[in-house]
Amino acid sequence: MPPAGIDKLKHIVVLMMENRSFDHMLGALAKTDPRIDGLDGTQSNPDTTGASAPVLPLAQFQGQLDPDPDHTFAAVDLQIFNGDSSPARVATMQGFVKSYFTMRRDVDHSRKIMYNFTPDKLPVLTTLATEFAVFNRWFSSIPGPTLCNRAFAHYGTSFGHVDSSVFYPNTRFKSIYQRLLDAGKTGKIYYFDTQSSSLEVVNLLQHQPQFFGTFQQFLDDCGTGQLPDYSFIEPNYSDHDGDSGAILASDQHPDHHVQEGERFIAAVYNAIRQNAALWESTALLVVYDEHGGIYDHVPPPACLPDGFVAQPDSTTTGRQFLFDRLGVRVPAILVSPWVARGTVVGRDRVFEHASIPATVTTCFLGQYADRSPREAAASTFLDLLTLDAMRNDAPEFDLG
Amino acid sequence: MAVIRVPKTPKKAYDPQRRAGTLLQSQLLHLEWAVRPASARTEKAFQIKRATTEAAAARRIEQLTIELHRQSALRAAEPTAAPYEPPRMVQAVRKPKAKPKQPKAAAGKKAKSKKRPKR
Repeated sequence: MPPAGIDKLKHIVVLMMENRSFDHMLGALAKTDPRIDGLDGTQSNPDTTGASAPVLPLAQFQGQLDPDPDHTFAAVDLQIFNGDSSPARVATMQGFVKSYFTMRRDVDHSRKIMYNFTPDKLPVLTTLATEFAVFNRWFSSIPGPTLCNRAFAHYGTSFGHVDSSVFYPNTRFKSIYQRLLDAGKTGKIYYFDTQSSSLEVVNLLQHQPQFFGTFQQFLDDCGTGQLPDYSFIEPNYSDHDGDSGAILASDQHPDHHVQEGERFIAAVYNAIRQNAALWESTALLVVYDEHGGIYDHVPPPACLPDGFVAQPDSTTTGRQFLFDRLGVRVPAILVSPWVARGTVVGRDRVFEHASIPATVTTCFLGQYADRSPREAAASTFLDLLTLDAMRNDAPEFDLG
Repeated sequence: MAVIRVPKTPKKAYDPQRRAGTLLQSQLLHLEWAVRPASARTEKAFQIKRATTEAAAARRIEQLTIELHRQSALRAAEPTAAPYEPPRMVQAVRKPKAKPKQPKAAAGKKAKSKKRPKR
């Protein structure tokens, strides 16, 4: 008999934020909980003068990571391998400061890529991480930028892409939304508004707009209990004027204000939390698409090759990429009243964005053959809903 | 049950004149690509104007998103509308590779000359 939480589960909601590494956002939690593989203050990178640039708890909400750190495939390769291109190279995570130096050629500024937030600065993310389940080993799927990483969340693969170019899926590996539709289930991508729109454009938004709604519709659907089986939420990607005035970007992509992202995460959580029936039957995953060039100390592990090959003209490293190594670690938190307080998912369990369609498919569709090799091998996360009785001590966020 | 107060974001954080970053530029490129007919997506024809600020990017993204929805509604209204099948994988916005040279005609045989279609 499955645990009560899985038995009652009707909805999975994924909120994917932008471009922050695990250590940058949650690394400081290691000081109060040694089960969390974060920062102990000894980690460092050499800067371009050879001096040591240590991790420091000095991250600011805005203004510190401008220009945007490079997170193209080649830049992330430098961050992970520190310029070593030998066949036997080892991931040392020693090239972050050197990589950031290339953006402004300012040594002092380049050292800021090592800065991290203290828990008091991120009350929403920190509370969710300590109250529910935080993953020690959730990695981005590709050591590269946003769009190919997000593709793994939608399709379980990026179809051979390591960049943000236009791509089409093949006919075999269907999007998670199409799989659900084919089985009589429901899935939806909620983008913030039409001025922010979606990052999943050329395939789904162009051809299947029925899969999309706005964030206001998500709030309405939560209020009326009309949430689909699976929801994927995109934050606001730009500062722009709306009907009710200024709307701030909430994606936390540098150099957008991190506090606005905190408020957005809290708004998503509150929308689910405030509908008792929905809260009881929903699992919310908060995850970041990639690290955005910001320091993390855990070397990404090797993984099962994806079956695709990115050629040297795409990787721009002079080498092919066989999709046989994950990208840099990102924050990931699973929220549900059926998750035990203070759950820390161990270092022996590796997750990546292909874990999202893998989990949703397993939950709502069961056995499903046509998955990418990476998705077929990906860990799923609903086993973390372990409690026999629902918690009634979950926090609430006051957005004022 | 704890109630956690979430601080308001300072108003000075709002900067719609901030330079539009690579993510917004990529999103714009994908939207511009999607609204065009396939025949207008050749490298030569596909030159889009980059948005300089986030506000400008947001305005253009809104226009293109509305246009995509409009095009989809038109397609859906067609009586012969078929269910969506993704197209075969193609390389996008990339310089086409040079055509391989035709092998020379075998000695002693004259290759048939083909008429070039008029352009």
